[in-house]
Amino acid sequence: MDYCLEALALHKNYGEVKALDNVDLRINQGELFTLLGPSGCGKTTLLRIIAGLETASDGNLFLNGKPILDIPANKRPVNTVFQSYALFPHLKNYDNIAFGLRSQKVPETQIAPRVAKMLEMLELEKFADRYPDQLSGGQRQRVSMARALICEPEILLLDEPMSALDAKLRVQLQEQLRRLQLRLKKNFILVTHDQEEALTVSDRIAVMKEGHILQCGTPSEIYNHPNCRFVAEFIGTANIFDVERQGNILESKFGQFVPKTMPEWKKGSLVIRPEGIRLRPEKPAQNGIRSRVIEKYYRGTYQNITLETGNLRMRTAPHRKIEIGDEIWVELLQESLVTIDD
Amino acid sequence: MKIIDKPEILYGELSTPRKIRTRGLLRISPGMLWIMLFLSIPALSLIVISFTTRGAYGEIEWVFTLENYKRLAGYSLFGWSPDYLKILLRSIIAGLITTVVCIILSYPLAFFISTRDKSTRYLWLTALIIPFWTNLVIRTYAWQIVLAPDLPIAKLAALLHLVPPGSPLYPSSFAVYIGMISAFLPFVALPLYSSVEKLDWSLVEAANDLYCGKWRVFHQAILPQTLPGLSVGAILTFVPAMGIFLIPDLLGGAKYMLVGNLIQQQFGKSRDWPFGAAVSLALMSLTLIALVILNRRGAKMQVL
Repeated sequence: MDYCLEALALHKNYGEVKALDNVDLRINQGELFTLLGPSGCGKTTLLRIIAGLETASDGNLFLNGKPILDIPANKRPVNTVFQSYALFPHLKNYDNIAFGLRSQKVPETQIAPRVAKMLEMLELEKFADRYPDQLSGGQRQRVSMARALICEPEILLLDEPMSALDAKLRVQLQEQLRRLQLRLKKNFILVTHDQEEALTVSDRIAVMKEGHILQCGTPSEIYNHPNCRFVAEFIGTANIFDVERQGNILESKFGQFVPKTMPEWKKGSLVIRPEGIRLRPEKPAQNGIRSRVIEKYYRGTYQNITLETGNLRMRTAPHRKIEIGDEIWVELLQESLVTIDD
Repeated sequence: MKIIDKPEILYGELSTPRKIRTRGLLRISPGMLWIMLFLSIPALSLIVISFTTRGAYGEIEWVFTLENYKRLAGYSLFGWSPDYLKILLRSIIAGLITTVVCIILSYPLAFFISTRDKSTRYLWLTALIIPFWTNLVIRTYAWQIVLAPDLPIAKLAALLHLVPPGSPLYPSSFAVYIGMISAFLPFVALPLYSSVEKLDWSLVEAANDLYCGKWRVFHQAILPQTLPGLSVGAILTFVPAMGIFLIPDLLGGAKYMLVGNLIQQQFGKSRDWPFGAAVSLALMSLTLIALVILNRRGAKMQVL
């Protein structure tokens, strides 16, 4: 199968700093792929190299099988939604959306219906005759999206498109973005530092740190089977503790645990998500801990509880009557235990 | 621009609208007075004088007439000749050419300087400003020397058969343009630099991303953003360039007379104040018309 985008041994150096260090990446056809990581991890650099706005120091990049590193930005069949949206302030929204087609000298008779279609799809009909600075952040983002999509790019690149919006609107637009992508069946590459956003909208996610891709997989793979400490900590909430393998059990400060599959290593870490820890009326057969509740936070649909033992964080149903100071038995579910080689 | 109706805090001072108004009035009154005294009154008297008659000894005779304007338009006892109109037209063209060349030279300059490191940037800016530390007269005389026949520039021109060997490059229209462009370049380059420095490069990237060629990137992403600096620079150059008399006087001689020289001549040697006043007013109205045109076009191209 042909990959939509394939990066091989991509490097980018800024003097001494390695913004991208030997990055390999394969993106399948029709995927919404997310580059996720903290600021300075190289995700934006990678996106800009794909867009052609930045040159790679070394490596290869293929778009639908064709090498594209030598094609300048203004000839690459990819378009970008910029973080600041970068709408032309002297042009009306209609002309902003028509911009790319006019650059390509598409006749005006063909531009009009295509712009109309975009305006309709992104619910912007009312704003066609206004200027970008007369719109709200969310509307501007949609104009920016329309401006990029009208060019029918082989990949749409989105550089932190939600970062300028408030939380509630962000959730709405994330769903809208996903719906749009599924409807168009186009390749989208999204750059974000917001792990929730990444989990919500993506088909697959690449978690990046210091110019490397640490893990690449579906949201549930990344969330349930993090392959390293950083991924476990960066995504969601995770309890991580050091363990030592002794025969068929993992020994820790808090007791002995038996994961589903025994790791090869001698010393490593054990990761468990809060929802993998269950309240038990009595001592469970295995992977049990007896501990005291030191914190409780009611969250409506669930409550967060912190245990004294290693500050373990767990989650229970909201109606469970648990008070701070209670001594309780919990079980760390075997299928939720993830072993990590440090 | 937003007009604040009822500011409560102005520059950190708590106040009422009324206080602000009186204080504002007090603060602008010296400037207003200055303009009234030294700009409006002379301009008004210029208008009056332009309708009077020159006496036999160069004095002003209070006989009102349209003769001066007729003469400017080319009508005299000996029939019609467009000499003065030619000078006016030539001045407009000289002003335009100077402005356009300065703009063309300033763009690369402004981009070059604004993309340097902070430390070297100020060195380049200083280099651009240094000529201002020398008087324009001296700088213009310096061009006479630089363009002298036995120096490289004149020799090169002779080699290319542009001028006969052994002759200086001035007085000539070429020398006038050299002098004008070098004198006015910083007036365009500096305001343009301040615009370029604030340039939002993401618009340039967006234009590139949306398949623009070089010219379209400039026209759609750079020009609208640098228009404020550009129009300031253009006005600062075009207005004085149209009326300048020193540079054409020293570098153009009798060969390249501009309206500034004509005016100077009338008020000086010819002692014909009424005609000089008429020419001055013609220049002023031409400048005004040009500014109005520029302003309109600018308003059309600029959002906000």
